[in-house]
Amino acid sequence: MSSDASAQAHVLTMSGPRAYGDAGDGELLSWSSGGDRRAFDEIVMRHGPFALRVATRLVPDPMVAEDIVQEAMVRAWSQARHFDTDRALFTTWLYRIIVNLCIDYRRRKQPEPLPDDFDPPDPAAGADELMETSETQKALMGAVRDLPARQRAALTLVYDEGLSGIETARVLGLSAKAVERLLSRARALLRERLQPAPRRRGSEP
Amino acid sequence: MMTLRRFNALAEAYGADLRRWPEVERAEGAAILAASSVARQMLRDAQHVDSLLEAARDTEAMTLLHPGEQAAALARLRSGVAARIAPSYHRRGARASAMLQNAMAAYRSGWMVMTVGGGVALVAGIWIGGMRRAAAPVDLITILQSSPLHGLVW
Repeated sequence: MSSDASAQAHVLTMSGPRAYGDAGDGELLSWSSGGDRRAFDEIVMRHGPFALRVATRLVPDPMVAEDIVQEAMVRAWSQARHFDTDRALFTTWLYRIIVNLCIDYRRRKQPEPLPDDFDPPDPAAGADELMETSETQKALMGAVRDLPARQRAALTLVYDEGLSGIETARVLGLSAKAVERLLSRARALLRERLQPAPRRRGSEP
Repeated sequence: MMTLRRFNALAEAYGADLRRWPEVERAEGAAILAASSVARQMLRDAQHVDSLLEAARDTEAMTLLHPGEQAAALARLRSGVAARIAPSYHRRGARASAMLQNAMAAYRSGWMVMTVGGGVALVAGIWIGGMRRAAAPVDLITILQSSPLHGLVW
């Protein structure tokens, strides 16, 4: 690979050296579309960490998440010449490929049943107390991971990745209103599953 | 002017941190928050879910990759992607090169078959000719009479 890359770099220097580290995503992508694998490697280095982070949040198995990101990157490479840098950000495009692959994967995969010895948290206990137990942490994480795929994706993009509602809408291919509805439903589901049930007046001691 | 209903919808979607709200609605949200106790209660309710989400994120962070593992994962990603995009190039080149080599080999073997075949035919012809010359007097009529074309000629 290294001799190959250096040979390629040599060819490229004939039309002027390419400063990969300083180049913008659009430029790197444009070079990639011409077959410059070194430029694409720069893209993978630059955006790989966030891509892996997002995929790992959306797909619990880290190895599957890595496979998904690899597939997304290869798709980005093969589609590079069709990408219009004037119309969209590369990161939005990459998010979109990754999120769609993760959603597809989650739809294909049946949810794994909880282990037999799993003890659900006591809804009567206080939320603060429950936080301290590992069982509750598992339940908390499970509740977030078990959210419908699109709701989970919207939560991850807005709450973990810090994207705005409009940016999230672009990634998911939805309207900003639809993203708002996904977030509301996701939060309502979490509240329903994890908040202590309100005690009825008759059941008070 | 933002209604309480809209304020609640935004709090339920984006949570209690106004920095997460749509930029165009933040100022109005802050104004209604300062003016309405109902709005403040809505935000407190949203804060509960925020804390659940934060706790889930913290728990999840423990299961996510550590910095060393992240570096290893990135290295695997780079080499995996490089391998998958490089072979497609090599494969295409190799396929063309293999086709060319096969064509050349076929071309060369064709000439070889023709050369060897021609040589064998030549040697056989000389040998058969020598045998015939030794066995019988050679004149045109005798040769034609002994050939399969005899019937046609006569």
